[in-house]
Order: sequence, then structure tokens, then C-alpha cells
Amino acid sequence: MIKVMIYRKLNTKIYAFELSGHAESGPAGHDLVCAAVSAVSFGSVNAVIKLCEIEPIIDQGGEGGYLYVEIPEQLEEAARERAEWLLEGMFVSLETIERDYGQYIAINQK
Amino acid sequence: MLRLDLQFFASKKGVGSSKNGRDSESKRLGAKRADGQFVTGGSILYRQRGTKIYPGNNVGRGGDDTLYAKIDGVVRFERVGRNHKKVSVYPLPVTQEA
Repeated sequence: MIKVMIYRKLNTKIYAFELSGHAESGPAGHDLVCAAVSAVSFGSVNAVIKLCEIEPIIDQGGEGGYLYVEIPEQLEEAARERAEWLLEGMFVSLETIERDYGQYIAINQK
Repeated sequence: MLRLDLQFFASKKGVGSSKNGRDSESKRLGAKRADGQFVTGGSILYRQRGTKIYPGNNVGRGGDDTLYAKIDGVVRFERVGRNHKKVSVYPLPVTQEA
């Protein structure tokens, strides 16, 4: 199961997220839930990098199965807001996966 | 930018490179004629590696241990001792002309 932790500032805006674990919804190479979660999370990070022109703090597990991303503190407000919206979009996409494939992914928020 | 690995959150358990996965072309060994079957001289009776079946009467053994009939006749698989077999070819009995 993939565990998703969404970190919010004072229960409002997302400033970081962490994904860990393995979906195990199918054999390696054919794990559909893993593919969905990877595409959504990697795509969102790349959108933040490209559209907001910022370099988030990224810790990616070498062997796979771990990704931590944080929006840096010193940011121009407009760029931060755009990044927050993009991560909210990612959050909704992950919730969409969780709703129908809940046995392979679990989302929590802090 | 992150490089996308669609199986980044997939379990890598049990995925190792297996050293197996090779096999040679099957050589279709075994019996080519049945017991009691009529064969002509030169017919191949049994393809084998080594002598699983021994050559009996009127049966020759080729270079690759293939057993073949030396004469026209009927095929007979027979026991040799407790654990072995041989194959023989017996000519058909000559019927007296009426």
C-alpha cells in the first residue's frame, strides 16, 4: 500500500507531501495503481518546477517507493500560490485514485 | 525536473534477473513406430540418446543411436532382463500359394 502524507500550514495551504510504500496492485511492470500515483505525483512536481520556476526540496528514494517534496520558504508570493494550487490539484487526483483503489493507497494530512 | 518511472511505487520483490529461460530445440525423440506395426526396411523405429531401447533382431543402430529396421516386417518391443527393452522386426510369415 502507498501511504500519502500531505503537510499543510495551519491546516490550510499545502507546503509539502510525502509518498512511501508500494501499491502492490499487480506484478512489477504492470502495477497500475503505482503507475497512476507515479504519474500524478511526478507530473505535479514537474509542473511546480516549470510553471512556478521554483526548485522544491526533493528527497527521492533511490530504489523507488519514497518521494518527499517541500516548497521552499523564501518564495515570491505569486509563485508560492501557484505551487499551492498545483499541489491541491495533485491532492484531488490522488483522492480520486484512493476513492476507487483504496486498498492500494491511503492519504493522510497533517 | 523529475524523470518519470511509472513503476516507482511498484514492489520490486521477486523481480530479479533469472539465469534460466534458455532451452534447446526439442529433438522429437522417442518411438516412431508402434508395436505390431508393419514397416519396410530402413524405417526409423526409435530415436534416442544412448540406448534406452536396445536393437533386437533385424534392427540396426545408427551413429546417433537411432534404431532402424533392416528388413520389411512387423515391429515388436520386447523386454531384456528386468529393466531393459529391445525392439525387433520379424518378417511376415510367407503364406503358401494355393
